[in-house]
Amino acid sequence: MKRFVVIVSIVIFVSGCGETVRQPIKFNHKKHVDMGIGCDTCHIYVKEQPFAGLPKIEICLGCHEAPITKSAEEEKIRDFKKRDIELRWTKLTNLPDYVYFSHRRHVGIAKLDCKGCHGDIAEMPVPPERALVSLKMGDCIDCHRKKKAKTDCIYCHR
Amino acid sequence: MALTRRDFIKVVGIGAFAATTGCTKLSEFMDEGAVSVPPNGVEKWIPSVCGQCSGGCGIIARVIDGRVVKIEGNPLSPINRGTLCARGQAGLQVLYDPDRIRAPLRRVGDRGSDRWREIGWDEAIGEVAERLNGIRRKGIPHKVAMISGSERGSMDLLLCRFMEALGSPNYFLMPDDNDDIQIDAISVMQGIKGRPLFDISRARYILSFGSPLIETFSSPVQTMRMYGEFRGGNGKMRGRLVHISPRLSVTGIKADRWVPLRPGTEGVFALGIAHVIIKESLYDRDFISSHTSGFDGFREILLKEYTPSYVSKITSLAEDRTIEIAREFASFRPSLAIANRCRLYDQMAIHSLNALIGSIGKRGGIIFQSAPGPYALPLSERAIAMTPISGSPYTLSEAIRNGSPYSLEALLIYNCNPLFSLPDMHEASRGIPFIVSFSPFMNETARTADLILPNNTYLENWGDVLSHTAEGTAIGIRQPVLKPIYRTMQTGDVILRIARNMGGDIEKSMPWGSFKDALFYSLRQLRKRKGEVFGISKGLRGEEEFLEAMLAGGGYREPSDYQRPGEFDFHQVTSPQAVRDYKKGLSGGDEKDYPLYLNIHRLSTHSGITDYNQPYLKESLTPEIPEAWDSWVEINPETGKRRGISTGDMVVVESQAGRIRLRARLYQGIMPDVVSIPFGLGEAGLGRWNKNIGVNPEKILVKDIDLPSGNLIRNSTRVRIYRADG
Amino acid sequence: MAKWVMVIDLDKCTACQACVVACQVENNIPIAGPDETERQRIIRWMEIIPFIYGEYPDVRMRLLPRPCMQCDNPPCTKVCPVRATMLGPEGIVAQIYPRCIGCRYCTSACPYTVKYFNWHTPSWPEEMRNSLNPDVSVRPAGVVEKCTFCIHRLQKAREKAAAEGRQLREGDYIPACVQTCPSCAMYFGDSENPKSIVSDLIKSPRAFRLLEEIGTEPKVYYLSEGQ
Repeated sequence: MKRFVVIVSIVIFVSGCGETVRQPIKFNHKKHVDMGIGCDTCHIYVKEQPFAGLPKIEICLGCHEAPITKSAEEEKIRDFKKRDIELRWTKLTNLPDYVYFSHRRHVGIAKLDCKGCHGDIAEMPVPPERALVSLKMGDCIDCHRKKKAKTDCIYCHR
Repeated sequence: MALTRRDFIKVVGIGAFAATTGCTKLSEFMDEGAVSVPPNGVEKWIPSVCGQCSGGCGIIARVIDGRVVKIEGNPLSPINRGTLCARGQAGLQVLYDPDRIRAPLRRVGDRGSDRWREIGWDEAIGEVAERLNGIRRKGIPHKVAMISGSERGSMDLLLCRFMEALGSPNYFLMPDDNDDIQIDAISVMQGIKGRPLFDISRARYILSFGSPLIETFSSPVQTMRMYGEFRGGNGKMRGRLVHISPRLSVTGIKADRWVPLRPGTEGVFALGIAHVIIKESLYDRDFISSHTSGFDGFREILLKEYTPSYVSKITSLAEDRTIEIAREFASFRPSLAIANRCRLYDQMAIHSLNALIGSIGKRGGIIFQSAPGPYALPLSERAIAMTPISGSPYTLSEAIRNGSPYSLEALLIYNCNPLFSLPDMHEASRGIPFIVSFSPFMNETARTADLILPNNTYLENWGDVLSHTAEGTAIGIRQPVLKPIYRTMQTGDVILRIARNMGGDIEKSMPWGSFKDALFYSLRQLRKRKGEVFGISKGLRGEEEFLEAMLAGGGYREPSDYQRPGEFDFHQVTSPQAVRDYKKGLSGGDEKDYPLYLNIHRLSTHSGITDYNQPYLKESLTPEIPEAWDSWVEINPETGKRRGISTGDMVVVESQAGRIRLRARLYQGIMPDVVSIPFGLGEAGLGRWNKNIGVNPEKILVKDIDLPSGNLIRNSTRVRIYRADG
Repeated sequence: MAKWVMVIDLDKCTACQACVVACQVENNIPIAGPDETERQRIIRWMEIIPFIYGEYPDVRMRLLPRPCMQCDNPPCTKVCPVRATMLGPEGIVAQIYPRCIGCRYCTSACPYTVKYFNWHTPSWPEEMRNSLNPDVSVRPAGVVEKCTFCIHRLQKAREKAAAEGRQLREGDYIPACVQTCPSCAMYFGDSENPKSIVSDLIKSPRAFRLLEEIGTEPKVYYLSEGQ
């Protein structure tokens, strides 16, 4: 089985496909983005860390401590808090362990747009059931060639 | 989906492959055993103090989402300046040791049956308090003893105070591997207690008499750093090292010269060197006239008796050797003579070389420093008038067995494993009705306990460690880098809770709510002193800011105060008793039946640690011998040949005290009439990486106590060796 | 382009093996255990190798810390049928695990025996997984691995420098073994930078490299013992 994994894993580089994912809250990306809220407001580490970070409930409560809308989904946030339940988002875009990817490098330093890799997530009124874009190693290489970034294996494989 | 060339080769290699990948989650393909690394997170670096030995190195722990993923040296600590040894690096295997004790345990079977039941902390603490109170009510509190591992900070003071308040003089500190220095000689000859500092970095010549100088000396990382400087770091001239010992250790390998010397003759050899220094007038007249007494008598006896020819007869070394080394030692100043903690008189003979050339109390020599004075807990309200059951931990087992001067009712054991390092404690422990262990690990001592009140590991604890450096004294502050991962509790807190539970005077003597309070009480007092917080020289306002800065930097330091060394007393080196001891040599069995000496050597990876269940250390036991996960006995190839023993053979090593079986390893670095076995394996603990791994050579040690110092002599046992199948 | 070089001063080295353990912790090296060790399947990217000369009593020993030599002319890369191991632009020899087919040609070709094969899926007791370093992957069974000069630290250091809008400075990037060395016997840096310590040290008359005569051009230099 192990050998099989090795083979498959290079084919499916960033696994965008898979069974559908259900998130704890039906988060509306579009609505938030339309109001001018940037991605890094909730994905707070996107410019400083290798990972972007999925928001903890405290971040939601920063705005939603008191009701802003009449949405039942919004009420869930406060309910979770009241019952001391942690928000467990499911990550859609998963990198294999052996790939080093840094959001800080791409977003914080190179100032790339999130959309380039994550697609039109900002347009989604409901949480996507799977990653909108399925990335493979070739996609990384293409972009790196275009932008004249390093393409040596050693800089991304670990 | 296209297959790459690589895939093709692979597939051909393994035969069938059905490419039915489609749209499937990667995780489904991960096979059973495959490990994925826990997700990344925001990292924090938290300063603390290493607990793998008593050296006191500052550490910083890399913590990600409550997981500790790496330990590095704290660059601000003057002890280790950002570096760490193998043990320090392996510290995560202490914290995440899967066989740690996870909750208080009560023994439910016979001793040694390993049948335990988990109990609550209230029950455990309540029971200890009640038992101790019962003993107190009977008016025999002196029958409670405590053995503690080497501690150099507030925890030692707290335990000592607890025993005092209880009314027992029986608080014993287990000697530490790091104490393998001539500290007894320094204490007797100069009247100085406490740990001297050998200024190795500034010495130009070092004579090591079997010292584990770069393996496990004093504060090991600090010593190694100083050794690097001694070898020409910091733009200084390269120093020269001569190692005198029956076995070629790592120190011997790294030395400029190894001089094989018969066990037990190091004192005579040192006096031979002293003879040449005196005869050729190479000694330091000023130092001798101003800092010593009894030189004339010493000189007379030495010149008369310890001539190179006499010394050569005793040591079997060529006369020229003694003369050459003596001349080098006296001319390459500053030079240092370092002993291991052998017989007192041998230590004294070796230490007298330092006095002869004035290498005491100055740079490049042996330095004495004061510890911050008011930094301590106030005196407890009780005092004790009883005599201790034993003068040293080595004679403790005999006293307990004989019930003389009295028997013990209870034994508390903290941060050490005496049944391992003193095998005859096994029998002694049987006669003690109540044994309490604070061990977080199921080692052989804990296995004999009635109750185990498991301590946290050092990464989960508060504490402080005092250490000396050539640049000054440092106090490293240990703080938890994560919350205890199991139902364990810092022993300091447990002791305070036991005291509270016992009530009365004991409660009054231990007024702190938690060990952290007691620690902070000590640390606050440092503010009045002239030192500074690690990394910050001034500008701290108020006590709280001072404390906070200490926690953020990892500790406190103050500049060196070179204390005046006590007057050096030459009389004792050549006292009739000493001379008798030199002549007597070592006696650990009949030479005819047991023709070989047993040498027990230390491994840098297994010295000072309290948890032997660390696989990375078991894999890399020692660099000079390619062995791992097992013990071995080193035999000179000549000796092996005569007995038909080759490397890898199972052999029996037998002394008057018993026999052990282990594998032979022929080694050019051992004298023909000596065999050597490493110490640190063969612990009868229940950890998966130490159970049935190696043997403990101390089991065949013929018990030989050096009466003047109370030390256990570890190199006097005689053995014979033969093939296990022969 | 930087050229990363390691210098080990054998005169200062105490063979304490801090480098060995630091490397294991940093790089998620699996625990071998007694049986696998017996079968010589222990993995140690950094290892201290003992050499013994002469006989008692005129015996001399040398203890040599041995990481990957990161050869400029590496024999291992030439035999790899799938280009899973190759010389990187800054002189670090890469080992790309998902590419590796486990043929072990490189293991045989390496004269310094720095390449290790994963005979099994590495496993840790549940408790110990917490200590795994997220900057480094855990290698699957069937691939070869070796010292990388802790290149993940280079990536982090470079990223940090870029975020602060500056060039990488001397000392920003050092491997775990060099960082922990108690006697400060190990040095690391860019030999193309004339101001670096290593560019000075490799010119020392004490400097030598292992098996220099076979033309591998290692980037690990040793400073010999003695004066």
